[in-house]
Amino acid sequence: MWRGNAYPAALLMAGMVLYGLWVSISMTTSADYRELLTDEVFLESLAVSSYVAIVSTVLALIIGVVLARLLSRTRLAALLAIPLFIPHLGAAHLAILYLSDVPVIGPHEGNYFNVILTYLYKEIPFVFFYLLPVVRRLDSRYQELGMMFGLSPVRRFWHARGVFLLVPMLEAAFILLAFILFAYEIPALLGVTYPKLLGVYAFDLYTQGDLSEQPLAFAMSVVLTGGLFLLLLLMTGLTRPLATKISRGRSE
Amino acid sequence: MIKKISVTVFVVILFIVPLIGLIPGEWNWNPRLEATLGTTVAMICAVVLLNHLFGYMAGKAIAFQTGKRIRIAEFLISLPLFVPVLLLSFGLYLTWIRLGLADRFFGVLLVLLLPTLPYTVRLYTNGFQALGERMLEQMVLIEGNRFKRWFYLTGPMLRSTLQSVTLLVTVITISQYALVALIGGGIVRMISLEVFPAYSGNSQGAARLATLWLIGVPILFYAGQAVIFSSWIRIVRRRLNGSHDTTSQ
Amino acid sequence: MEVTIQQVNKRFGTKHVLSDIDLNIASGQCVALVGPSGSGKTTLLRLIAGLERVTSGVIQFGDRDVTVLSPNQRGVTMMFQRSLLFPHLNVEQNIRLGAKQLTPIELESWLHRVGLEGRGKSAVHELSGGEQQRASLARALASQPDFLLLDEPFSSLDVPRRRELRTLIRKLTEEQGVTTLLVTHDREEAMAMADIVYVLEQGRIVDHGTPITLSQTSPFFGEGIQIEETWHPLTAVNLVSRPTKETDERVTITKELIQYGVRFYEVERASGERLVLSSDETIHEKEGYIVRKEG
Repeated sequence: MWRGNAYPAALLMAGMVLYGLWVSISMTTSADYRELLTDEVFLESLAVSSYVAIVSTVLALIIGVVLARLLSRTRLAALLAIPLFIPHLGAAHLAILYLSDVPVIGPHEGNYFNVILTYLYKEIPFVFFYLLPVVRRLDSRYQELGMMFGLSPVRRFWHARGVFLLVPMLEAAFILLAFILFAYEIPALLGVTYPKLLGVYAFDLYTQGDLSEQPLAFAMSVVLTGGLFLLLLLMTGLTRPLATKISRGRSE
Repeated sequence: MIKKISVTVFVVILFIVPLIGLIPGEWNWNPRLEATLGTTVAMICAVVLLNHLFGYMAGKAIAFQTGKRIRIAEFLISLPLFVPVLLLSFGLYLTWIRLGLADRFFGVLLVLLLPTLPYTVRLYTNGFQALGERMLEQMVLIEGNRFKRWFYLTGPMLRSTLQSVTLLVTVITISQYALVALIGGGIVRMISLEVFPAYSGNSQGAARLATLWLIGVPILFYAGQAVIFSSWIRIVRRRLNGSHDTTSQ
Repeated sequence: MEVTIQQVNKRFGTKHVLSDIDLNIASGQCVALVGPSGSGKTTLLRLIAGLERVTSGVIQFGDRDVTVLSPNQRGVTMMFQRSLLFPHLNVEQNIRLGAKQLTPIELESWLHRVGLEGRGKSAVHELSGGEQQRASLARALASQPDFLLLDEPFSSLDVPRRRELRTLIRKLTEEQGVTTLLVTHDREEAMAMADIVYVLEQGRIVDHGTPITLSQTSPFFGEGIQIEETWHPLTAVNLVSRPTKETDERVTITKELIQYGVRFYEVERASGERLVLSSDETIHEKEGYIVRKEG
């Protein structure tokens, strides 16, 4: 037993998630799903949320990984840890403070720039620290080999660094996407009343609407959970061969 | 070289400088805010403790065990990261009602594990992997009593992991508004329930105060933890009679 | 391809890592750089490869001045302590990486030459350490370099694998006429592989010569190595490094020596030529010389 036990934690997490899902399913009928998937408000919300999530994730990833490469060997990395100390709500306040009077980005704008920027503030450090160990372990000699073999810069980057970074980056991307897609606090504070982001829409539907609207909220939970889960399976399945080869191939 | 300097400047300007705007002009007391402190601190302590407990066990297992079962466990533990926790908590709330956990401290506590435990387990897994299986086996051979082993050896060696976990869990927990409002039914009053309306309100001062507390509490927790750690290490060293100790910084 | 290094200096900040290095490698020769850790040998290797810039001095490949050229313009390739095979590619794909066009036959012949026949589709992690280094060798040579640089490629292997690998490297580089530069801190290795050895200490060349000459004159080499003075210096150059052909020739043993657990014979051929052969079983059987004692 001194090797630890992962089952209690797994039970807790899976238990709550699956049970929540189960209850959500049991509170809905197939009519609710049909209604949901034809609901214009829902679809618009989905579109906007996807836009915000994808833009934030892609930018955070790119900037985060570039910073990781540039700052990996320095102690300046500690500075980037500061946003991690600041709760998301606090970051929202910063946005209210500074971005309120800026045109285009200001609060309650339909393009959601302020929301994206707030997420970037918190998530770039997250990506940075998530990828830091991977970046630190990159062996520069692969790059040197690439140079000696006369590989083009693109191929060189891919073989010497890209393959090692791909899976961790996809993991980070997924975590960010899921988080941003369904978050409530920041979009509730900074976003517009229409179109709402998914988290806000669902929460408001559940708490403020009358009882007849609740099944719609439950249906949303089920559909979104299922959708993201499928995406996850797809991604894991596609990257598994690469991940295995790399983790075993570097044990020398 | 120039690249590094300009990047540093860029980072500092974008990430650090905005925080200057948070320095308050005057200090107010907001009684409503303070009323939530008790619950908030208690909740954070409880969530942190449970995270350490479950995370330590799970992280160790994932780091050193192999096989299909462990990988499934690892996947299950990461599940909350990929699902809309808030949305699923609609369903959980109904169950909590049936179990009598709704609007109660314990009900909120359980739900707060969802956004925190996956990260905690990951941090512990990395920490144990850095420690290495050989080192762990050494420690098991040197000291058979599990608690003693943790107190004198494993704990101190995992210091940075423990600190990171506490910090991360504190920050995440304190920021949860929707989950707490929903499952706590407005009865379990954590600080986020006051901070949120302060932000959407009109008073800049109130907002500033709220943020101060929001950032201050994690910092206080971090500082408190640092103090606990140094005393811990000191006790360990004294107990071992000044023999060469192996704690890593 | 002949390699000339003239008055090369390398400074990192204020630290002088290499001073006044002069080196000559004849075409097809194998030269070893030996010295204690920190003597600058790896730095010199990297300068020659183009991975670092010299502070001053000239490096010439043939009649080309390559001092400021980048690695891919120099036509060098390198082997490291770790095989550094790209883990996401299999053996075959790794080998193809450096070679412009490799027909399947050429690929298979490379695999065969390094003793990995049929393993082309294996993943990197399915190979043992020694096999990985052999694959790395195939990858290096398949790119048809003029110059092969070796940065202690044997240090992660056990003793039998080391012998195996260095014979293999010597054999293949001689076949292809590839000039070779080896960096090592192991004297036996240098002696066994190189035609000429340069000794580095604290960034300077303090000695150079054939292995046998050095063993007699250089303090670095001398201790612990017993070589009889009556041996003809020239023949000792062929110690273990001469690849031999399949033949049933009769030779006369004129001298025997046991060193590091390996038995060496000095033999005289019918033509009067003298050679030194090793009785190390793996080499012996592979190389095909049969030594019969007569008289």
